[in-house]
Amino acid sequence: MPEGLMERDGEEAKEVRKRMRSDLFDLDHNESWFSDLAERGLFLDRFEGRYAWFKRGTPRKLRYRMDVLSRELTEDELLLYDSAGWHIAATATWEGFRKDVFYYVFQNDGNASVPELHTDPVEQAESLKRLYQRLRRDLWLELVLIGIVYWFYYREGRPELAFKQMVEREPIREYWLFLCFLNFWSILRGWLNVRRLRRRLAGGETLNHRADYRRVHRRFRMTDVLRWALLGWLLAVIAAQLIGAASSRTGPLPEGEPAFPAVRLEEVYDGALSKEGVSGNCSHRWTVAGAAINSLWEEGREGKTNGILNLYTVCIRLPFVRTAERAFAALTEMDTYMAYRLEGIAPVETELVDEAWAASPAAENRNQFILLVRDGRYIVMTFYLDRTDGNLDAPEAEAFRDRCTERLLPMLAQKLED
Amino acid sequence: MPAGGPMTEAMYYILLVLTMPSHGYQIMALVPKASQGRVHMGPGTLYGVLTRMETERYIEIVEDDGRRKTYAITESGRAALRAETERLQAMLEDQMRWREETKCLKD
Repeated sequence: MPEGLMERDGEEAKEVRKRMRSDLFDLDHNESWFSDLAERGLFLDRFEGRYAWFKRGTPRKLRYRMDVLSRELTEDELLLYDSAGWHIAATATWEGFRKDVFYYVFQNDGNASVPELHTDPVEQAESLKRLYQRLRRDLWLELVLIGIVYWFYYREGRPELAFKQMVEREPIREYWLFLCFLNFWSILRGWLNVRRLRRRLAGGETLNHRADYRRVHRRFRMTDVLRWALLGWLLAVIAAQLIGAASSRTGPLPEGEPAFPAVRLEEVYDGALSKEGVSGNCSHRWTVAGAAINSLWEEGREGKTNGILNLYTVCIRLPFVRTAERAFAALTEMDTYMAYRLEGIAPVETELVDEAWAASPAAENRNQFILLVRDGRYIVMTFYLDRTDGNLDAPEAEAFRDRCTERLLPMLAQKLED
Repeated sequence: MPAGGPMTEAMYYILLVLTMPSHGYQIMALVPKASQGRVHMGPGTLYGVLTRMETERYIEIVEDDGRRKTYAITESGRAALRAETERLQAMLEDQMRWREETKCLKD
């Protein structure tokens, strides 16, 4: 069975469809392919989408020639081709802003006395000029698109990206970029092909109408397989994301102890809370990277002054210790995590957990304490805001940080151990 | 060929026969006649050249009844044809003079 053969109604089908290579303008290879198929009894009938349809008949020798034009041929003009011995077999249009390209495939019943469709190679080279310009323009547009996609997805810094990749794994961005590169490759291949044809023709040499197309067909099949594999991957990722989203839940407090290591606001705040107690919510979700992300948001007020207190804990359980190590290393290099500024974060010497970093309260918010901890596969981020003492000045803020570290770290280590 | 540059044979003969307004069939028949049977033109080449020369305004459509277009040479087409003829003539004269002077070229 010839390569790429796809039959609609089995072996004896009157019509056979074959996947058409994307570079329809690879004139010599396509002409040669159509001629070979005619010798096997398959005659080109029409193009439909990505397919070429062939009608079955008695095998015979036919000459196929392709013509590329910047306008549609009129009925009268097609009659002239016909009277010159070239009968139209199929036609296709490649539409594009201000640069439509029209393809015509003509066939001749092998009568050698009929003059060639193109009798002047230099003029034929000229006829490919519009196609060449169109491909060059599309090549630049695709490059710009790659730039936009790259900027859109990768404009954030490297540690942010590395962290997100290890924890969230968003392969959609790679998919788009990869797809853009695949399209770029497709257009580049087309452009190089047309350039090759133009150079040959401009040098006065006619096209090789029996060029060997097997290698280019093999190459196209590989790209095609890659395209389908990419689509399969995308569908698998979307399914995984949907399952992850369906299994994620957020519930208001109180709902008992969260099922992950986190210290509670009541434990952290060394004093009496207002009568209203603590409100907040707890959420849980899975990511495509296989990480479980739990978070706990608690808000309360101090009993006497009614000053705001809140505690936000994010606990990420990664599938491997090594990934957790790398993600944590990236986290400590990041400028921000969500809305929290991580600048000024410094390592804390401790034997309670594998790694711990705490933030010097920043100039814009000296009441915000941040503690980042990694222990085994777990990364726990604790963001504690305490406004009960009003706005702290720099030395007070440092004391606040040390106090928090001393208090929170052992509690968290104990919970991680449990 | 870019405007003003040397012409291809197809372009030259089409311009030449279009000094008499003609449609596609007529051009196909007139080119071998004008070239004394030496040049035969394929339909692909014919319409490629016609489309391009129309864009470059060397020729124009003088009649279009919806089915058949009749083309004719324009003033700038005539100027281009004249310039190309002079260039070819000059080349031919150069070749003859050189042959005369050097006796190096044999028939």
